[in-house]
Amino acid sequence: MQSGTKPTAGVRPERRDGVQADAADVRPPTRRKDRLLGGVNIAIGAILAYLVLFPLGVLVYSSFKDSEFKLPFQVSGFSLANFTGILSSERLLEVALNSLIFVVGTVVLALVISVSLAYLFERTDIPGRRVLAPSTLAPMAVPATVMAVAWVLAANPANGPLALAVERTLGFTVNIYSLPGMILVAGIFGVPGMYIMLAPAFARLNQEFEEAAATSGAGWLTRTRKVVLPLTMPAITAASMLLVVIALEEFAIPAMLGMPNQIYVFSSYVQAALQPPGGLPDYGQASAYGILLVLLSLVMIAVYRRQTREAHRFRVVSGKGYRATPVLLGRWRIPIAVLVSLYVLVAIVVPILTLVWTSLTPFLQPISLDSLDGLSLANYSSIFTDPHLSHALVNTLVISLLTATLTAAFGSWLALASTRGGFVGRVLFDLSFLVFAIPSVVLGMAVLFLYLFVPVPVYGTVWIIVIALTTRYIPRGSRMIQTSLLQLDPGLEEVARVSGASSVTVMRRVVFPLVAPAVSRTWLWVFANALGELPIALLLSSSDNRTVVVLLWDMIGESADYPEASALAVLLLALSSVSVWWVNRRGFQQHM
Amino acid sequence: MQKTVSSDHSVEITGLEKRYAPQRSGESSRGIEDVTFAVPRSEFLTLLGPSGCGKSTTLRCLAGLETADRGTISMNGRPMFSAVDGQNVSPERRPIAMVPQSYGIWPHMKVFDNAAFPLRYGRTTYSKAETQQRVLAMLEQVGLTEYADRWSTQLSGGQQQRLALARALLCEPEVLLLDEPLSNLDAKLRSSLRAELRSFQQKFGVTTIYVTHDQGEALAMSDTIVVMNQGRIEQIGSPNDIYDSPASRFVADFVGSANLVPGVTETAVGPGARVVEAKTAVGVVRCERFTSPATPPTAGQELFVCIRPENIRVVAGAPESEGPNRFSARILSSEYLGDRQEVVVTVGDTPLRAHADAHLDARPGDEVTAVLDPLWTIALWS
Repeated sequence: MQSGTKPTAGVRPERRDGVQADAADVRPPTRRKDRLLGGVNIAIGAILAYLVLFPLGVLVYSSFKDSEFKLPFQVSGFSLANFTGILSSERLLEVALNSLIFVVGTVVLALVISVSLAYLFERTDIPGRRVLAPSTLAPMAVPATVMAVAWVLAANPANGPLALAVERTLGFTVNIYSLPGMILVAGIFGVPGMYIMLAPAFARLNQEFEEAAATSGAGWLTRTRKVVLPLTMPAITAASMLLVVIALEEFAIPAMLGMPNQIYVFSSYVQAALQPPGGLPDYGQASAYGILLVLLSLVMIAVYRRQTREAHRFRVVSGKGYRATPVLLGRWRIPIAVLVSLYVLVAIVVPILTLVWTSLTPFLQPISLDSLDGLSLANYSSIFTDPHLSHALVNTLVISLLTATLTAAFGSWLALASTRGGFVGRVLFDLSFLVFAIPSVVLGMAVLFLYLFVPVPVYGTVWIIVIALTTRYIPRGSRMIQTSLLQLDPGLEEVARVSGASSVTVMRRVVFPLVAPAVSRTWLWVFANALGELPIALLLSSSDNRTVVVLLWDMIGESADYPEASALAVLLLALSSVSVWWVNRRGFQQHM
Repeated sequence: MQKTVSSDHSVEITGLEKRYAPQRSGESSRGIEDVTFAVPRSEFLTLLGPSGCGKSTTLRCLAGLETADRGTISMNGRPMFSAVDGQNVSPERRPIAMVPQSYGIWPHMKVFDNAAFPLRYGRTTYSKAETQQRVLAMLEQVGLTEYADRWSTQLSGGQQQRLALARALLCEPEVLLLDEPLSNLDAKLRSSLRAELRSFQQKFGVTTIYVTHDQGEALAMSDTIVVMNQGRIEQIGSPNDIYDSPASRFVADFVGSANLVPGVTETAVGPGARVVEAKTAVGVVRCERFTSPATPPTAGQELFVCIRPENIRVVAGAPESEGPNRFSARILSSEYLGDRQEVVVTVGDTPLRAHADAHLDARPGDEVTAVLDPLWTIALWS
């Protein structure tokens, strides 16, 4: 459930072909250029293959090695033992069932909340929209790991203020360490991404469609059921499919909330098999599960792309923009606004406040005025003085900076290849979409195997994490940049060329300055997301390259040092909020 | 802006007012002010005006899609909206049907389902068989029978417009509201659908309120035209009235083309006066057509003389015979249009557009006589 932007690569703007054709007309087909283009495409292909295919290949290879507790390549011969093993164990059924419940629950919850919010904010006269709408999007700035920690603190049955409040007022016990708990947190976490996909669909839906139904005599319920929802359905299904893929790979939330009671979904089970709390890692089983997860993800991605490809079938074109008259809520106005505010309060404000509160306390205690005196910044000062923690902070920053820079650079290159690199470039760009289907746990595992296998000395350094994270963010980064390239009017380049500029000059003076904002936005987006990315950092961590999220994981899971963990989480949250705010400061944009 | 109180009226609006908060972009607000008119049963009334004049706002207030700040609306004697009583019947409960500007044809439904919507989910619902029969009959009327099973997105613009009309008529409305339904079509289609629309209206005898900015449409189709400008009603009248006796400079200029010459009233206009003499840059012009404003114009009061190009006769040579409104003029330019020549002549320094005989032999610079037919020369004080 990454925040910010979504890969809706299936919806490809029609203009692409136009751009392509125009570019081809303008460029004289010289041999030298063809060779250059070919070389560039080969280089891109080679890098993509190295980043994506190698690790996946090693993963497939390992899954056919009956390695159990040995490293896969120390075993000779191939066998299906891993697959027969997991298929015949009851664990698979349990994990599959948990995953199914988790994914479906998360999607349904996020769907209900985000469709209601998108409808309320875009089509009704709900008061306080200017404050409420951005508030509901706030989880976008919260890394999943931080979100999970905040919820652990806010809703743990022992002293979480939310759990206590519910117990006192409604009389039942909330256990956040359960499947419903995971669904609740992951669902809330999935709302902003979905809202951003749905809001434009509701906003752009031509008012006339609803008005035509109203003047035909249909009441609000009929209108909504027969006209508004069917017309927004393509967007709703596309967003749901995407959330299915994202929920399937979500790691931090199910892992942190499921671990205490041994509730595993696919992603957390892969990690548990690789890094069991006690005992030896089972590489064979982990890779077999990984393969299963990739296949599942691939199917979902395929369904998603099919869905979005057909979405244009009834594209709802807005006519002349008559200012939308909002649906009048009448006497429901205030109650609904209160309900939405309550959602913001319970789902977002209270967990984050609890987190901040805990970070200021010496030990875990319920929020109360009495303990106000005991608050101090001690936890923060220990972060900066403890060499372990400060080392992790430096690692995190180095990794995020490097990842953001590499992704922005290679992403721009790939995006340029897709719009200017002819057929091969486009195919390569499309192929990079496959990375979306590799859950980050699996990607982490595959990269781990690869560098245990090949003699490149990156294992144990920050570089191995940088490589894995860059691979993960390249498809999204390149799509963010490609969108802005596609929006460039080809006329701008043609005019420059007609004025006598060489193609290099055109790139340097026209294309780059115009695409620069998108590149910097991509950089920031990757930076924000790399900060909080847990599974890859966790699987690839060793003593020297531990990052803040990994420490956070350890503190919550093993040492249970909540106050210091909270301070770390708050720090992470602050860093990520600033960059997410920066990315979106000109309004939330839908890329790809 | 006469107030008519009679149960014979299908729609009555009094003192309707709607204000919009000024927008940041400096966009002109589309508010309306003191809009009052009544539509007799089965009549075709057109709200005519430039964009932003408030005609669409008026229509949307009638449909209940927009809530006015002041005034009342009643349909067939039943109150629909009253700002004072806080009464506001929602669109789905008003006895109306509407064809929106871009038709509002639902793209996720087949043609048949679009048309059947009001019979299935509308004010009065019908059995399946009855719906089927009525919808097919209506599609037959508008010539869309063979398209019933197609997706509505496969229809052309003109077909969509007919489908929207069919759907509206299936609502069995007492009042049919049409919001510039022809504006999205090309010119040729527009004129044929114009006639079609009018014949449907007459066949079904439904009271119709039609919004347009196209004066040609308004003149061709309406029983009554309400000309609006900047949120206010400029004039209400039959197409003849509006064209021949515009009540204001705006109406004269907006409907058809008109020469407007500023001047002053020569002598005070008494209650029984039939003629106004106006002193202008052209000379003294005799106007036999005018509507006296509430306060009788006094001598020296500013006015405009309005004359349409077709009412100016252009004769070669200098004025020979004596008569009113004969002025010596010079041809400035001429355009040959086959059936006539459109010429611009200058009388003194004042240019006047005129329709001259196609075979008038006059070149730019030639001296001619411009005769302004006094019967069709209009004095305007507003």
